[in-house]
Amino acid sequence: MKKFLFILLSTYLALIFLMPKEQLFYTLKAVLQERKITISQEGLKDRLIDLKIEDAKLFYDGIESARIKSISVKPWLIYNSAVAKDISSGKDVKRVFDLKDGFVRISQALWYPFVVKIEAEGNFGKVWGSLKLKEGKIKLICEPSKNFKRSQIFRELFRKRDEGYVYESLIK
Amino acid sequence: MNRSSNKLLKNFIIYLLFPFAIVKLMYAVVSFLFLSKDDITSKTPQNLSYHYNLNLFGKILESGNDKPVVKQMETANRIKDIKLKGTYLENENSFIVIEDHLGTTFLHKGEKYVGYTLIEIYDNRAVFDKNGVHYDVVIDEESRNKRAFSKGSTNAKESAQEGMEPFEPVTISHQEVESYIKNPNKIWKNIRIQEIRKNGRIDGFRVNYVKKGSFFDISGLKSGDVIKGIDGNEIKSLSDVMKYYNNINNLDGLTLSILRGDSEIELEFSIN
Repeated sequence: MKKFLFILLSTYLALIFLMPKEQLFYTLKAVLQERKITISQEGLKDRLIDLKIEDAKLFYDGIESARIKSISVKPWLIYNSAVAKDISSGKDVKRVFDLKDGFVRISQALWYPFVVKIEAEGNFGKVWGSLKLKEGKIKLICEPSKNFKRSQIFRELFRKRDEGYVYESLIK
Repeated sequence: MNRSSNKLLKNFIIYLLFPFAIVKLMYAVVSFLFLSKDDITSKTPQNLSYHYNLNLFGKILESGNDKPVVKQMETANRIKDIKLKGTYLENENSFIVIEDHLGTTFLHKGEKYVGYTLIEIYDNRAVFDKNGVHYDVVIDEESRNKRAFSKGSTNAKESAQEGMEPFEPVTISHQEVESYIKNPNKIWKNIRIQEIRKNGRIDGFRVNYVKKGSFFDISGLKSGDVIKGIDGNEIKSLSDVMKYYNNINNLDGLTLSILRGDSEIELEFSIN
């Protein structure tokens, strides 16, 4: 039993340490590119237990939508997460919505394999919710800041319900 | 001692080295079969840093701007897939409008585009340089015709002959434009538009609602209209629209190509 646990532990560590994180990221980029989402980054570091992406820009359909100072992806298999810090609006959407100091955490755990948790914070307020992979359903609850509450984007996306301001959509 | 170190080595191989070797092998196979080895070589999204202050539509058509060719340029292959839609000549502010599969880009003299540096602008062509070799790009004939046609559309008779409805240019002040830019909510209170996609690509924007008496109503937009293009360029992506939105302050006017029912109309806006 002890031997088995040792082998299991070292296999688990090997799976994390040796994971081709950069190649997985490149593959993800290629998949997203087909959906008109482009990520460009200045730096990419495979740091054994995580992948650090630095100074990334996110483009949607050619529009620079967001700038992200750093993203840390932890593919730990039992618990996976991606944390993006210091997010701001891209230059093309700044006039529509000027996001500053944004923070996003996306996580998924082995015990809920088909649920991706989403948390975000910034000058827009707080957003939390989940993406149910099986149903392709995304549900976000927002606690908006004063300014964001007045914006058209907020009014278009979120509907007031008992649990708060809710955004729901199906991802195809 | 020897026996114990042998046991240690054996344990090290079984418990650590062996699982790592198996995992490495597995990842190598997966990487080889399914994963991208290199970063995708995506072209840098379009250069949006253009600075202009003119009625693009009108200026491009000005025919009296023929600049003498000072020297005979060495002409090599043309840059494939780039359509020169128009040129604007005004000393240091000269620029060109080009179109490729990504959309429309405004380029000033000295600026680079996909590795080619724009070095000269003439009335009907632009000269690019790459590694000392000069490339001529001649204005797209179709654009020339389209622009000439659009310009003529303000003339009621000609428009009618071409099956276009005549519309007088609508004038809006820069202050009013600025107020819309600073407060996007003001736009959405007066007009609602929705993108139309065909095979995943943008194929125009449908106007779903126009508030009566609003600027958009006065300008001639109607509910049900489909906005197909700006300044004679087809809208193919959101970035095509954002480019205009972000630089509207620098424009002196623009023209919207509208599909209304079966007929095409053009709405000209003058900003002063």
